[in-house]
Order: sequence, then C-alpha cells, then structure tokens
Amino acid sequence: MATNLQFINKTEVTSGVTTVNVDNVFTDQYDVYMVQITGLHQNSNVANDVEGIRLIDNSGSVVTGSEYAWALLILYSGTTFSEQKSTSDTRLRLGLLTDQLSDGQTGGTFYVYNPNDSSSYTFINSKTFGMNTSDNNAGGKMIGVHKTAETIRGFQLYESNAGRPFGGGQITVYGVK
Amino acid sequence: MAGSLIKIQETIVSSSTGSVSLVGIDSTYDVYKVVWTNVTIDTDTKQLQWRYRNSSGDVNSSNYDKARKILKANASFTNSSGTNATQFNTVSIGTGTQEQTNGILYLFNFNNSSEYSFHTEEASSLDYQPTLAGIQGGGVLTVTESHTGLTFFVQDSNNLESGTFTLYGLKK
Repeated sequence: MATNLQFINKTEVTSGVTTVNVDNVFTDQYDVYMVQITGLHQNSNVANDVEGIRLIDNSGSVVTGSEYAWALLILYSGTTFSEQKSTSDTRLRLGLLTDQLSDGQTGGTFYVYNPNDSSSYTFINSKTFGMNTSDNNAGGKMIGVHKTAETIRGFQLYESNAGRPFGGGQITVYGVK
Repeated sequence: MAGSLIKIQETIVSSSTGSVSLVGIDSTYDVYKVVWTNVTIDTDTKQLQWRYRNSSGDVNSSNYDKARKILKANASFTNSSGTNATQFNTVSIGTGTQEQTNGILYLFNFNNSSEYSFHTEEASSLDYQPTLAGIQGGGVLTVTESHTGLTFFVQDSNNLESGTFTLYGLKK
C-alpha cells in the first residue's frame, strides 16, 4: 500500500560541533515536513538547552538575521512552567534541554509548513522533551515563523555557545505527502 | 515511522468557499490525522473553526469542550478552555499580508460509537495583528457516537479563500 510519510534524510550529529546543517531537504515535492530529533546531547557536563534552529535559504545561506518570531512553553517536572517568546530573533528556540549523555538527552518532533513556497512565510510547530541535571525533566511546546517570504531548502541545528558543543544525536526528515 | 501514514482525502481551496468537509473515517484505522496549510480567509479578525461529522452530517450540538494553551510571540500566554460550545476554533486571523493558519489534529475514537471522540491540536498562525500566535491543546465532543469526519469553516459564515486540508489514517 502506498504511504504518505516519506523518508527524506537522516543526519548524524557529530561530537564537538555547534552547528549541523540539514540542507536540500525541503523541495517542491511536499508542503509539510516532519522532522524528528532523537538522542541529542552535549559532549560535556553543561546541562543547558540547545539554542535552536535557523533556516537555510534557496542560495544555501543560513538565515542569521532577526527574521524569526517564536513562542515556547516549557513544562518543567519540578517547577513552574515557563513562557518564553520573541517577536524578532536570530533563531527559532525549540526548548531542547539536554546534557552530557550520562546525565540526559533531548528529542522531539517539529513540523515545517510551506518552506518551498517563495510567496509564503515558513511556519513551524514543535513538541520536545528533555532531561538534564539542572532542570530534571522538561517538555517544550513551541510555535514559530520565519517572517520573510522566500524559498527555504533546509535548516541548521544551532548552538551559539562554543562551550556547549553537541555530543551526538540524529535528525531525520520526512515529507508529508 | 515511515510508511505508516495513509492519505484519505485532500481538498485544495483556490477560490472563495464556505466550508471544507473531510470524510472517510471508519474502522480501517484507530487514529486519524488532519493537516491544514496556508489557510487564508476573506474577512478580518475571524477564526477558522471546525465541527465533527456523523452519518447525518455536521454535529451542531452544544457539546464541544476544549482545553488549550494559546502561545503568543508578543504577549503572555493565555488559557483557552470551555465547555458546551458549538464548534472548535483556531486563533483569529485576518486578511493582511501573510496572515494565515497552519495546523495538525490527531483524531481518536472517531469510529467508536460507545465512547466520546477526542482530538489533540497544534497550530501556528500569523494572526490579525499580525503576530505569531498558536495553540497547543485538545478537545472532545461529549456525545457517545461515531464520527465520519470534520468540516472546516470560517466564523460568522465567512469564507475560506485558500489553503489545503488533508485527512490521513495512521496504519495499525
């Protein structure tokens, strides 16, 4: 039987880097994409959340300007839930709270709407989970938008702090046909 | 995960339309999924709304309950809850540039005539201001009957202008 969730790409997160580009995954084949992040962790004991993602435009450049808006509800197991938001930021924050692998990891699913439509903004929503020694267990519910109408062909997993490189993980992209 | 999503119906709105019905829910799958993308409307400050459908058509009774969190990029988040409404809804959008809604529902128990039907929802929209706003939460129709689909429409009998609505089944 034909199916409509179609595997596109799997990227391994290598240890020691602070950016991972997942490029050339959004095309004219699909309007909606599902991205799964699994086993994402840091390579040292820093217990923090990953900065987020940034999009890659049609020329292959990472969009680094203040073109993103997002809203994130972090659901902590041990303390009050936290509202985080921005109307003008240089990344989309997903709420990926993680740590070195012996102390925690993070993952989740996010959907990308209309990335290949040059006349539309690109919208995202996500749900994540994570664990580290600072926050214990936490989940994230997020919405986001890239406020420029242009073709988007990929994204970058992004951490701005050189002292918090990734330790490993996987990123898998599917098209929703 | 791959290979488990089966498309049942896709409706593309390319001109002014009063409603879109997605049908075909039966015993084939236990869980169904609805995706809407790039949905725009013809009147400012109105909501995309939806009702469940049974074998007689849209269910118009006052039995829709919801509990959601509204996430906003420019203001404090708010709770959106209520009982005995006549429909479900997104945030209000408008007719300005890029004002649109995108979202996903997962549907549970729709083919079970002895239990309530539920959904979870996640939506990301540029609202009427225009500001990023979205919903994370769920809803239930408190009637023990089976449901065959949903109908999407615009608040106060206004029209859909564009968008794509798709119904999928999740393979058992």
